[in-house]
Amino acid sequence: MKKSIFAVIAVALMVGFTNVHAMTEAELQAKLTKAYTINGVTYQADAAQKVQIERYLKENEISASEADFLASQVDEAVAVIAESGAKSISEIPAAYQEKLTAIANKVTDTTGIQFTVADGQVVVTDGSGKTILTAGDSMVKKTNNNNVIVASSLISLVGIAFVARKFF
Amino acid sequence: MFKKNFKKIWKAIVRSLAIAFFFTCLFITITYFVCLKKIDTYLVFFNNFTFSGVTEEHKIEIDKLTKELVHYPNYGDQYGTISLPTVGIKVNLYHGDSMSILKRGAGHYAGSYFPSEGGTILIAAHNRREYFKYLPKLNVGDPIVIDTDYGTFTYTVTNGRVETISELEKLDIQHEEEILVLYTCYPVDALGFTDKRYVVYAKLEGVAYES
Repeated sequence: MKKSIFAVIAVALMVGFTNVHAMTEAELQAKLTKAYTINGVTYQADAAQKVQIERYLKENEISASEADFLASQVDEAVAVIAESGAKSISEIPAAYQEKLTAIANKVTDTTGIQFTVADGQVVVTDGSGKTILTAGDSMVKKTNNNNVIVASSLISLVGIAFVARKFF
Repeated sequence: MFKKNFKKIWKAIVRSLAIAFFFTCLFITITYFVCLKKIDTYLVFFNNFTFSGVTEEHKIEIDKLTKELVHYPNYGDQYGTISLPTVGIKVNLYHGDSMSILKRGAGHYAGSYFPSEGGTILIAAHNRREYFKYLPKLNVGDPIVIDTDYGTFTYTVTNGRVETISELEKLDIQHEEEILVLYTCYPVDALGFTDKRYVVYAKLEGVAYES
């Protein structure tokens, strides 16, 4: 989750622009998915996020000049984390977190991108509501049909209500 | 006299069974919410009572010459069906695998590739009778069919085994060969949460694109 936050910010920075030249798109994709070693810790989009980044760039065109802007914003975010000296996202001091938040807010204001938490994961959507990236959850989901919890809870509630009515 | 006593005894037995059943359920409830995987329990419990929402079915666009996908479905959209002919199952297939999506059918992990893209495709579904409960019954060589707006993809099972969550999390999302991976919780009749998954691996056997 913490290492994917960087990828989320990087992806967020690229949203909302229009019309990219094919060559720039490849460079931008490389910029967003490469490994960044900051204060001895490596941050990189994982395989799943690389797939989502690749997919979004394939489907949406981004302007070449704005790709340069995005690249510079990625460098700015990297510099902020490096300057903080933190060895993990959770260790970043409040002052530097504010700087990263400011970058994210600038992205939101410029592109309309939204960060929401739903079903236990962070979902990043573009201005039109289309999902770009999901992060923070496990690749392996809970797929058991656990009606026991629901059934036992309901029966317990019925039983408690039955007993409680004698006192009211 | 005998009838009267019998009725009294019968009432007492029924009352005792009901009280015992109630306390058993209460014990199970407290154990799950307090002692076991609390977060999982709360998520699963409340997810059962949430509205799943309306989904849309979006046509996926494909380049007619290169057969490459050019427009993808939105997260949460149904984009096809997945069939297991050997066990007579056909499930709606959605882009994404959040809890609300898995309530409706099979969920395609957004971080994996789509059919026809030549990479790893990871799909999950609950171990319900109408979804992936019979996944362990598939044998090597059995067919799996994914039917979409842009084509019908037939896969052949190459392997099926039980894996732990940590083992499955090491799955390589590669882009060299089209591999279909289906999974569901195991044992399929488990009453509680389980750390194991039954995983089926299949390779692409044939493609029929929509004209």
